[in-house]
Amino acid sequence: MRQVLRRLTTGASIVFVCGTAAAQSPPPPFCSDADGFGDFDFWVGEWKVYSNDDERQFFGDNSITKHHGDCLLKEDWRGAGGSAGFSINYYNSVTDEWRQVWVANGYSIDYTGGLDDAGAMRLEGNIYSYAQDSEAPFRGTWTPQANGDVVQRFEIFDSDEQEWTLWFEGLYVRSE
Amino acid sequence: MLFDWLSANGVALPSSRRRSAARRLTAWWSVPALTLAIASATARSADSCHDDPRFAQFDFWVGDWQVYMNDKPVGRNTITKDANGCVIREHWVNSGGTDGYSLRYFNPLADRWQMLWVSDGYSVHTNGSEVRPGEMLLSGEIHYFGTNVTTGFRVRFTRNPDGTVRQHAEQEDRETGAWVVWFDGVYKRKADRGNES
Repeated sequence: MRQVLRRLTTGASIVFVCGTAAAQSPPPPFCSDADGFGDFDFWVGEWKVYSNDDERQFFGDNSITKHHGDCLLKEDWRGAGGSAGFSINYYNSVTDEWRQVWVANGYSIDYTGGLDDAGAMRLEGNIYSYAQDSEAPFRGTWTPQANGDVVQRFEIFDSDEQEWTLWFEGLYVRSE
Repeated sequence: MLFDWLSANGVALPSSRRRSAARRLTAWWSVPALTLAIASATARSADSCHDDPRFAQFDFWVGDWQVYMNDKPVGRNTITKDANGCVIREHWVNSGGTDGYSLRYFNPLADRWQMLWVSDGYSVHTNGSEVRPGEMLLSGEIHYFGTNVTTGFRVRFTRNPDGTVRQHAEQEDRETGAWVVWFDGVYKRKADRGNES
């Protein structure tokens, strides 16, 4: 059985199957060196998030950290009002796509994409609203700024007008 | 993410299934939405996920666990519910000290549980549902980044009568089509946390 596994997989699954053995000889992290996995590194860090306008309303703290051999970006959002939201972000080299799954109180978002020509991360998929029992096309764009800030823009597709509508735009400023 | 106000006000969305409502809803998320976002920043959240019992189907897995394989401890797993009961987060730390995360959540629109696990060199994408109370079955795919291999994956979580939980995962052998055991472990609640659920 183990030979089948070894033929089929990378060392990573063997680590999981033989957890104690892995403790003695961890494999080198795959995602740290391979192409694509660092595309979203500009978003990693501890952030204060504000409305991206002159008001600079404070909306919350966001923590983006890398884990598991740099294969995973984890998002922990704590809104100023006490709300929480979480996401998993990762590059899947098999499909050559970035994906984010976000879950918060009453809704979830699942979208995929990658860097555009200007170096911004663009993900597109769907948002699911539980209370409304409805879903809609949704996309997010994270654009690194020259000073290290990041502008996060969300848009939703209006099926009546057949156009994308700006939903929210936030400015990330590093809190370190 | 900046959707505090969504929680408090319900997420108002257009939908291809709700075309007639789209125009009315558009007003919600343009300029007034920003005002609402600010106004509701301190508002209490709605209880959408607590009100639907399907969100509680995986509760037997929530807790602080010591995980064993063949009676040997292989790691700790901390499973928490958050975002007002809408999401279950997993934080796995194996005996060697490496850790990993998953999100799993019930999506009432799909009427399915969905789980996403990302680890060192691979990701697992599954969805599924309750087989019976205390037993969840999720199936999907595992993607190995290093070898560029995708194959079938399924995992079953079963609550045992003594309160322990069995996690039994298999992946498909692409050559034979056979299902091969990938992980088979038993979760026991950490002694210092007693039998709390």
